[in-house]
Amino acid sequence: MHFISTFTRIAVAEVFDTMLSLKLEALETLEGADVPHGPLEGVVGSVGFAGKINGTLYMRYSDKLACSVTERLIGVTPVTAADSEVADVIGEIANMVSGTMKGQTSKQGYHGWLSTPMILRGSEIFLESKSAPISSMSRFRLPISNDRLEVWVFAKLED
Amino acid sequence: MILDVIHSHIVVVTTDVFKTMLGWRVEEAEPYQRIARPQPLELRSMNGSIGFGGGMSATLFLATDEPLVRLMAGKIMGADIDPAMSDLSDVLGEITNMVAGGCKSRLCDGGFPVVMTIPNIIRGRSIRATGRDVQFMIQRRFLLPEINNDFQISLFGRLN
Repeated sequence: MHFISTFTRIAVAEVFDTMLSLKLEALETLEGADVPHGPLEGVVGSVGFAGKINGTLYMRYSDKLACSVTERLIGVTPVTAADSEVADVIGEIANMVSGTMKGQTSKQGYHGWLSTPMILRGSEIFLESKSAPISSMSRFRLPISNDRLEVWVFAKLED
Repeated sequence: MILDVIHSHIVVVTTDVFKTMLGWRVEEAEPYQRIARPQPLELRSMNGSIGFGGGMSATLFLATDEPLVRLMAGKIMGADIDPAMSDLSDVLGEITNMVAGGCKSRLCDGGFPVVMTIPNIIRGRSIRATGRDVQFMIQRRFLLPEINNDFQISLFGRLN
């Protein structure tokens, strides 16, 4: 497994444990040509990395899972996944996961800056990065839902 | 104000890239207005996306639809080629990269250093993009009168 995939799994688990007191179970990690690009439904939090590590992290939740995570973090039950609180929480989690990853990659000499978190919502979404030699997708099971959290990283490392 | 400078770079670079790479004249669809408060953005069916870090943390979207990207691919790859979806993504990624890269170069030359991510392509239906921790939003729609089409460039972000 590429160290970027390992760092992703560690960062996601750490952030969910710290912020939400949830122990995630890491399921499979797919890399390279095995990584599916879609179609995705639901809510996607994303943050870009620019610098010696260059790429983007995407975290995909079903609408139901996004609402459950929001309720757990801020104690407010969203009416729908389109509520602004959901976007805030999904964006904040993406920001914390990418910040944790950035700290880990910096220790390996791959420093980077982060873009602001973006939250995408829609249907039949496909994500592609044609310039990224590293691509990975990890699935996680959360104890509060049967729906899976899926995390993509498309990245390029520069020496 | 730096946002007006960034806006000006977006217009100049977009016009230049579309003329140079595609041979198309670009017109601004509406007069420029500052957006006081960032709003969620409706993306289109095929979108190029690039993040920025450094002097600003931001994301740029070039929002368009597959038929226009097919026309772009025809210009770049040759009209007799039927491009696959991966070719379309390549073309849109490259155009987005050139627009963002041109803005980056001009900002760096002007003493406002930024770095940018590699381009991503986001396809889908009814996609709405919302920024978190964003302070500004620049949104411009551009017309391509020679082919009766249009596209939109949006930049969400905050200054660091």
